[in-house]
Amino acid sequence: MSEVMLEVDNLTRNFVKKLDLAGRLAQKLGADIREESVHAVDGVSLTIAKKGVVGLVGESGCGKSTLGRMIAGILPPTSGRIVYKGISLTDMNFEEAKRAALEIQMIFQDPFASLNPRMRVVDIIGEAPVAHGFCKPSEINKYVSDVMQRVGLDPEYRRRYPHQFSGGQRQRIGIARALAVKPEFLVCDEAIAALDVSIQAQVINLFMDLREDLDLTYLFISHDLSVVEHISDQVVIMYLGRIVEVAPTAELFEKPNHPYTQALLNEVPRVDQRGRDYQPVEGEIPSPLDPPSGCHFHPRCPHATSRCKAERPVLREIAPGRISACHLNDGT
Amino acid sequence: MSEISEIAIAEPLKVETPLHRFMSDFADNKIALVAFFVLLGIIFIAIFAPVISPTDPYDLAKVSIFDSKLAPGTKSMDEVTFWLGTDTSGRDLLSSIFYGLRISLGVGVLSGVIALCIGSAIGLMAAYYGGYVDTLIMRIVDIQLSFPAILVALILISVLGKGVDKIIIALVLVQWAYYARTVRGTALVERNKEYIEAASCLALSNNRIVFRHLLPNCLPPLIVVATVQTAHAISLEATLSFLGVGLPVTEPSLGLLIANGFNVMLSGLYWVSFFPGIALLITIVSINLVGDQLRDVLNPRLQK
Repeated sequence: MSEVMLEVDNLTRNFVKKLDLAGRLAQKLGADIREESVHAVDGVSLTIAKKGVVGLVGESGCGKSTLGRMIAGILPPTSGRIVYKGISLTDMNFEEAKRAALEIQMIFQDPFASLNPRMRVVDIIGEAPVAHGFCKPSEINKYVSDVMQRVGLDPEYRRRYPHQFSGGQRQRIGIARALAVKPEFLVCDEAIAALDVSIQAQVINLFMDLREDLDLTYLFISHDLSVVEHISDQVVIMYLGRIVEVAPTAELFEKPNHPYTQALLNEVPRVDQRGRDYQPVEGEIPSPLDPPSGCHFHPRCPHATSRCKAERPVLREIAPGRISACHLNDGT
Repeated sequence: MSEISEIAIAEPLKVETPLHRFMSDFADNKIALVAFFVLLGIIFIAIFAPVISPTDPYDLAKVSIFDSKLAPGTKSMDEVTFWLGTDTSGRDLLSSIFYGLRISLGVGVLSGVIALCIGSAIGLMAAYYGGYVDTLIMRIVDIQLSFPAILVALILISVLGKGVDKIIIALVLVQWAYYARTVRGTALVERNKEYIEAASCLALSNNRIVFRHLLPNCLPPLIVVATVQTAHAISLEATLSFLGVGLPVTEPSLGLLIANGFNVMLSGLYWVSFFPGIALLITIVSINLVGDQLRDVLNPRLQK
């Protein structure tokens, strides 16, 4: 494997809903109330190679956005380490931490909420480069025009406000804002989910062009397997805060190992399987407030045994470059 | 890059300065436009009261007791027409109102601006830091707002004593809580939006995020509250003066003028209270109308 860009080691994030005064009183008086804690991300380890494109897939609520936000430095992890270019984010001095924060940028899902509605495009894109000394305040127009051209926006529009653009154009503004601080690693959190299908293709192509031109590394968070198949080298499948399978894209789509992956892949509509009956994954995703024991997937798994209810399966290498967390792999 | 032009917005906007666009948007609402000019006129009167008043009502050498209680439109012995009549001491009411506006408006606007700065700083702090800071600040606000404003002002005035500076302090202490609560509520909503996350992802400083990203997006409700509160401050000051605990007699505001006339109202001298009351009403209504229109115009999302 080539040079490692980012390594995530046993990363965990809990969200705790603290009891208020009334709740604590009720608890003292014997009511059956306790602090509610959600393991949004539960001991995730992951390695992302330089210039790689990793697709992170899972149902909504499985913690993929939380993982992305921790990597982008927006949310602090509860425990675990994020190692960027060989140094843990927590061990960095101020200058290194700032550089790492700028080199890891995030593209957000909702292009309507992710742009400050009261700033003009030139300020949205140009604020951070000026603040961090990438360009002089007097050269902001030229700098922003260059970045806008790179993402396919007409620099003539730089004096406009975000609400004067369409969804696809806004997403391009969001991308331009991230590119303006010369990042090396982009976390795309459902970056195309809110766009029309025709625009999705344009934005995906833009991501791929940028990867060629700027040697970017991507963590591409999505629930859309067909998009992930199209762009990523490696796919990570998450279920209820845990990674269940990691594999190179082609191998994963050819021969999925984990029952959850198999169920997900069955849901992707394909031209060559037209007319096939559609078998959705049975049941709902369980509440992360009260996750199932053992393997989180066992209540919905067609192959579940008593062992799956009791014991949490560990991620184990099943083939070179492929890991999966399923007890079924032990038997055969 | 040929695809750019295809997805670009078809027609480019006309070249116009932001100020020009702001003014034309504001003028869309004719009532607000009228209110704006009325307010301009009031401000003009307040600033230039000594120049444009027909007489100086507080120059004892020129006020004659023989001119007292004259009906609107009558002439004095010096052939000066008292368009709005005179009060019981023989002062020209029109001139008194001009001078009164100066005091009322000055006290209202100054206390409003100070309360706005203090209140929004405290509210932003509560929203941004959260936790115990937030709880402490908001409980103080709750306690303060549970008392009627007039009661708090009365207590403060009786502790602080009389004087223009004292009444401004009292009005600020009464009003800051409204601003704090408004800003906190809006800031809590805005803080969780993705553009704030994006700003922190770009490693911008806390100060910059709070003042350049958070505060501007809290402005629309703040502007409305500011205008309503300024109008409220003016009427609160008038009430205090009417009750005789506001401004000293040497600096008569509209409230004091109304109070003066109240004694003789039932004797048929309606104009002594009536005209200052009308002046107060026009001032407060026009401030509110301008504030509403400002809110609509300053919100880019409402623009076509």
